[in-house]
Amino acid sequence: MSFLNRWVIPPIVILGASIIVFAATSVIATGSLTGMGAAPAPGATAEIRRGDRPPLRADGGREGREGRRPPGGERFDEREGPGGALGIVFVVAQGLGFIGIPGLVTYFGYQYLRRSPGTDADGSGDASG
Amino acid sequence: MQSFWARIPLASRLVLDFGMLVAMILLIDPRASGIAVHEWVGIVIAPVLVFHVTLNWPWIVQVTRKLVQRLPLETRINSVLNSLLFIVMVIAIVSGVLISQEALPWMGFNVTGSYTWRGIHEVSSNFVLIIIGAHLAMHWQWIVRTVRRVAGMPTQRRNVRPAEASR
Repeated sequence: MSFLNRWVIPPIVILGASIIVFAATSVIATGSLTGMGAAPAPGATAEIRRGDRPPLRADGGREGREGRRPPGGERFDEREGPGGALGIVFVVAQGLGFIGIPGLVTYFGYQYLRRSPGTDADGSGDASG
Repeated sequence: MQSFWARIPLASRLVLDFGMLVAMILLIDPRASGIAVHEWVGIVIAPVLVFHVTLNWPWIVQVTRKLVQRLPLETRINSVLNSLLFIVMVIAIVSGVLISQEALPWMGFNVTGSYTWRGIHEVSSNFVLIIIGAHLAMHWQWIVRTVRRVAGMPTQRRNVRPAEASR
């Protein structure tokens, strides 16, 4: 396999596939290829729909609906999680839960499948090693 | 040149994959890590993902060519899982970029941040984590073997079933 086939073409194909995935998602979700289907046209009335981010003010804050947000601008996801060591424990615990549980289910599910009579699993398909 | 690139050391691959796992764990809760860290890690992981897929490109080509043929169950599960993981990761990364509050405005890009993309980001991110768990589980034997090889420990024979071992 030449250098071109090994290190140049794959990233191009991967990026191309990514663009296709994005475009498909965008068309399905917003009706626009660029993902900007939900954005108001330039010069349109600054109407903020429910859930949209309010426009950025000069001081860096965001203007809320009818300008009722406090100076400095409340932002989305302002809620803070636990910081410091507790925060790390919190993140690791979530990681174990979100990744570990599906991992365990898959691992033991696959082991069960492999041992079931009639399956052609010989485990020789993993070429990643 | 090819022989050098074809033999990227196993330890480097292991470090790269472990780094991706740590990054994914860091990305789980933006409120715990902070939105800026969340966004920058999410942006950095995109080229790392491309590199990870490029490293495993020969496997992808090999499996795609044999897609219509009879493949072992493990390969079939891996190909479906990897394809799904790639699709949802692309969706998660791009939707994350489109709702960026720190990184993109810092770079001078004004993004829409619409409710639609927020929802897509949340759903796709949750799927990414679930599929990563499955992806890790399906590659667990490779991880164990590689760690043993890198650490200089004797590697166990692969896929030895109890019945075979007792012979």
